[in-house]
Amino acid sequence: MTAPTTSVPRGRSHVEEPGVPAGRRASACARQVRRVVATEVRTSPALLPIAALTVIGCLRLASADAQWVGYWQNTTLKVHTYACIVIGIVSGAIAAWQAGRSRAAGLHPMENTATVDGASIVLRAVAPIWLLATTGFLLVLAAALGRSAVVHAGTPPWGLVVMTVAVLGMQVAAGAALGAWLPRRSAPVVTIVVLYAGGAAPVYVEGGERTWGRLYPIVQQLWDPLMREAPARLLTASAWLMCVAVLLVLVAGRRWAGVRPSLTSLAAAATLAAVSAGFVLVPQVAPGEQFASVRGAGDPVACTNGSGPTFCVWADHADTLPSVAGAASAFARATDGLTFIPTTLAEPGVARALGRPAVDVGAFTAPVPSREEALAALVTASAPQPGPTCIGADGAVIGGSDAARAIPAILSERLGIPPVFGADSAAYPRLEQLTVARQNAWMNAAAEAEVHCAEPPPVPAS
Amino acid sequence: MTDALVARGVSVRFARTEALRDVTVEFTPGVTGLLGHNGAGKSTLMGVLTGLLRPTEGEVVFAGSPAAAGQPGNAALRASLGLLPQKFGYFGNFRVREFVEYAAWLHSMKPLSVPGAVDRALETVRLVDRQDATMKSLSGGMAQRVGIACATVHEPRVLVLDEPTNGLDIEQRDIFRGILRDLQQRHPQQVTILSSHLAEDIAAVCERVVILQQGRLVADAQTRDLVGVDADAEVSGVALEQAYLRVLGARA
Repeated sequence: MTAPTTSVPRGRSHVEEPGVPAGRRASACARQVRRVVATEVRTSPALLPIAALTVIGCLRLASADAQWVGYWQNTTLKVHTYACIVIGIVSGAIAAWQAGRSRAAGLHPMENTATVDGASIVLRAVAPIWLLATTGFLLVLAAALGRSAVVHAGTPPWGLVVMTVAVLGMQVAAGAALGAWLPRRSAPVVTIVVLYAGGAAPVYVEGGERTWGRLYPIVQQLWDPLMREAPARLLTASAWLMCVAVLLVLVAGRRWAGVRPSLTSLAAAATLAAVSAGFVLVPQVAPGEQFASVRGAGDPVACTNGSGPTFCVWADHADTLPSVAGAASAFARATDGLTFIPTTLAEPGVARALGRPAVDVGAFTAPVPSREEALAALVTASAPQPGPTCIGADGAVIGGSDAARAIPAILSERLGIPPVFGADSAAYPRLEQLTVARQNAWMNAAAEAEVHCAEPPPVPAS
Repeated sequence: MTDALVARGVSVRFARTEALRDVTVEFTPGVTGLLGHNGAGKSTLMGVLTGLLRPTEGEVVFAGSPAAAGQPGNAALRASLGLLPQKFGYFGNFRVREFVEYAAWLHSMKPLSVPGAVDRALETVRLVDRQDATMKSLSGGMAQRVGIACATVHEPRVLVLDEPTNGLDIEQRDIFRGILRDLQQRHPQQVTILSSHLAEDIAAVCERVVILQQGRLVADAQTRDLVGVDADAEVSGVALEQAYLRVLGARA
């Protein structure tokens, strides 16, 4: 008769520790975890490569052009892309190498007669690589966001940060699975090819962005200020990635014949991964909005309340307002007496949230525009436009006369900024010769005509 | 229930080679030497006893439960087992203490007991002063001693040492024998199996000898009985070697 396993007394080390306070046990456990992490990090082959990639990332992102600087979510997207494509893939390759360390060192007999299972052994070998990769990512992100913080107060898109950490975990786990089962020398190369091809696949596969691109999410784009991260979708993707990582670590652990994880645990992990994949793939979203959504009526806005036109932005861009308010005051003085100047101007999409008409000034190139850029935006937004009924039989817009184009040029001149456009209008030199009052009268009449699909009146002689 | 580790009717076949043939042997508390030429089947028997190899026929029983690889008692055997394999591998960048801690972790030791157990294991193998040295900086003999520390850190009830003195110089082998005697004095109930083809090592530490020849068990006796000396007399390596050759010759 087979005696039940539990009846067999175990070695002294496995004896429970009765009488030891829970606090003391917890502190001993924490101390051991710290020691294991310190040992593995110190001896990890990932230490130097990831340190180097962190330094390179900081230098590269800190010296890059200013297109994305200041927009916290775009800064995070830039770092996310670097982390996933460079740090993550290199970490995956190192994990592939590290997963084969027991076989290379001849430790399999000792490990296969141990009590911890293969998955724990793999996890111990590769988890420090994930830790190092995450640290590298966070350091580069801190450096890049530090640069953003100089020009714009904001907060990182935390969902994207969490998803990046999850992508790194999945990449390391994929490396571990490949490294456990492939010959040690070829495993890192195969891992690099697999992880890179997986990341690039959505670009080449039709509809890949909405399928594969959501399962292996490397977001290689910048988001318009009108967009904001979709935390629910990002966190769902993070959960999926962690389920896959667990599954891959269990697959890697199966390589340890004596202490392989059970098929039951493998099946449970596979089921969890399949369910989480469903949560990622089933919700239908528009192209380009896999992990971001367009801001809508419910999103908070903030507006200037000084003289001149009211300027409204999304609440998280509120630190734009002081500089824009200053420009709006100057603009109000320069446009005193003009009737066509809009009373409310707004960032893209804000009009919907305001619930009242507002002229879209477009997106600034930086979240806190210079006085000149803010004035140019106000001038551009104030240029008379053909009214909504100005559509000809052929569908073409009626209006947009050459003379009306002179108005922004005149306003720019009054504000002392380079002409936004219209300086080449034939009417401009003649308008310049007029007094301000006569300029205003003509511009009001021209704007009125433009709105009603008519030709503006001729510029009076000086 | 005793801690006996039993191989019962064990045969192992690899393709056309029969590495073990119907071996039945019971390992009880004390040090048992496993003696045999190269290729006699010592490492295969070690593999079967430790669960690394599944026997083609027969069974391994530990403390009354079938304990071969994949059998219910295997987990209990692994929890009670310390193994120093023939080719002891290690991570070169680990420090000595870190590597023994790694072995403790592999055996799921309670965190609270690890520091003390590692201290004791390093004291036993006389490597306290080298605990901060990296593994790759150690000589072969010292590395083997770390191997013993790893195999004993969790105070196993079954200790399996597969050719532990292979390639060691005289001084290191002497140190090794001393360590083994210390261990046995401290844990007299421990089942220790020492595989070697060096009769001198077996004679120095084993009270019982099991001899294998071409995969068959050809002798299982008290060392003194095999050599033919009194209970008080020391068994010399030369005497055991002669007895061993006599057994093999008689079989041939």
